[in-house]
Amino acid sequence: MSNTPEMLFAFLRDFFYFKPNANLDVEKLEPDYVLFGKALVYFAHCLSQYNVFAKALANGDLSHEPPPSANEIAAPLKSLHANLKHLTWQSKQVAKGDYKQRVDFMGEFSEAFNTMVKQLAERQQKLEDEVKGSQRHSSALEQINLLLSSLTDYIPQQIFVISSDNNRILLINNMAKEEIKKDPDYLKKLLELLPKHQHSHANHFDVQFNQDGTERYLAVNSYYIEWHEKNATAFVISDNSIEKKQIKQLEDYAYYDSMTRVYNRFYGMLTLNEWLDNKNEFALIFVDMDRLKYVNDKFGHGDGDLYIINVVKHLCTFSENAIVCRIGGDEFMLLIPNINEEAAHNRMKEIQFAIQNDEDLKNKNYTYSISYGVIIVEENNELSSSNILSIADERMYENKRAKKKKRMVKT
Amino acid sequence: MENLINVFEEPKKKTFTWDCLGNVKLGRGALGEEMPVLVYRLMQFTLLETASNELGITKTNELFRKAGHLAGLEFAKNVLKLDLDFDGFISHLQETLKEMKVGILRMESFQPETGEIILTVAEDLDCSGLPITNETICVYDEGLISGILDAYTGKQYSVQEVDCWATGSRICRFKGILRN
Repeated sequence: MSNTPEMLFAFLRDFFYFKPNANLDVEKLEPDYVLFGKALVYFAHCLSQYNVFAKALANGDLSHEPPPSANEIAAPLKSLHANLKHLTWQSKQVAKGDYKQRVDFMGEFSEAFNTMVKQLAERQQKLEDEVKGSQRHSSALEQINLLLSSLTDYIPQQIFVISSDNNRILLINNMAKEEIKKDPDYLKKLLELLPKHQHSHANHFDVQFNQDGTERYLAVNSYYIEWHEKNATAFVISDNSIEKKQIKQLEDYAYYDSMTRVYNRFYGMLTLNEWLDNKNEFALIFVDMDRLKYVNDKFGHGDGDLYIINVVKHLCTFSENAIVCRIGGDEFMLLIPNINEEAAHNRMKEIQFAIQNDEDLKNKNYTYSISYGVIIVEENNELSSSNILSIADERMYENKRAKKKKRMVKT
Repeated sequence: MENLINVFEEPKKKTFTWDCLGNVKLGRGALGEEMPVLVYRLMQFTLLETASNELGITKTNELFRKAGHLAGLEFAKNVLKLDLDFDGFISHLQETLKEMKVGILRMESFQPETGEIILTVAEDLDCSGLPITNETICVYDEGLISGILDAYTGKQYSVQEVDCWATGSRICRFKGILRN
């Protein structure tokens, strides 16, 4: 029993250095030390529990069972453990989006955590605001699209929206529906007339095609767009057929002689001035029908008109590029580019001969012929259009006088 | 002179309802709705002392747990929002208990599969600052927490205090499990 101090010392030493083997047989202690020995063993036990628990916490193992409540030494560590567990819970809540979580028991860490969560909340709010703004914007756009789609039914142009990959119709307005109703292949035909690859985002094409024997003139505007997240092309088509016909008719009135269907004086002078401005080289031939007044007075205007029409028929054979204009009742002007004087004279003599021997006028009781004057206009010409016409007119009279003289000599 | 009405009437069985608490705001216009924790504890511990002398500590603890459960149920029904999801409800409960100065509730864990819940209450109204007695004494809180959980989940919870200020811990830790 005298070795009690050694036993106690050995127990403490083993506990500190060889903890798993530390053992104290309290029954072998001196009686006065038994209670003390028991308390020491219990203290070591509590300390051991504390140590194991602290190591687990140091390793980040929060699932380790805490020492029992009787272990008062471990109480502060258990309190720390509870706080860390709660912090874990709070972090999970934050991860789920609960930004109201606040820490108020971890000193400086609390401040950092709370600042972080507050910033997360602000960013989340900002993002949500942006998403809401975006949704509002998207919704407004959708409404506007809906309105626009409805409005397309009330406009006079045809509207097609077709997908870029397979030409499927995505939107069609009433005017376009009418076209498809009349001809189911209308869109297909139209697309075949348009270039396959259009490089700009907005393009304009004037398209002309024959539909059941009728010429149609369409002004096509195409736009590359995104339609419900797909690439598409919107076609806005104006049917200009009626306008084109009217313009053509007006041009007819303005530029053509209604009886002979050759160009009139207005168009002739317009072309002459344009060629002079452009310094073109050409021949101007002034033609006058002989004795038209006599035919009109003696045989009536029906014969006179027939005479005129037959003269025009022959003048139009001059050449493919000759512009024939009726500039007066019995006067004509021919404009022929790039021809020399001799060739012009030769051709006119042939025409004179053809007119005099025309089958349609052969049995008439009057003679018919034309007189003409040629002037060649060169690049360096400085004469005005009226001067040129006067010279050609003068030469025409020379030709007329020469023919008269020739007839008189013959008789 | 004897009260004749009381002579003929049997004492009625008391049934607790939220209205029994009265209109504190109206009744305490000058003093307000709050009072020192000391007064609360004075009533609780003298009641505990008296009851345990009469009925023994086991029976007294049982009565206190039952009273706590009833309080928890009524508190949940009349004060808490029971239609929140679990996380939202816990946050709401934390805020409410803090606001009403009952204690600082902190969640440690919840197992959705088993329903097991571990939570702690710091600065508990009943026990924080008490001398260490090596006993878990928050039996009223055990009942209160089980009552709140029963009201929210619609199931029956058994809550036990596993650590208490009075056992030397700085906080009270409660473990709740579903009863069969």
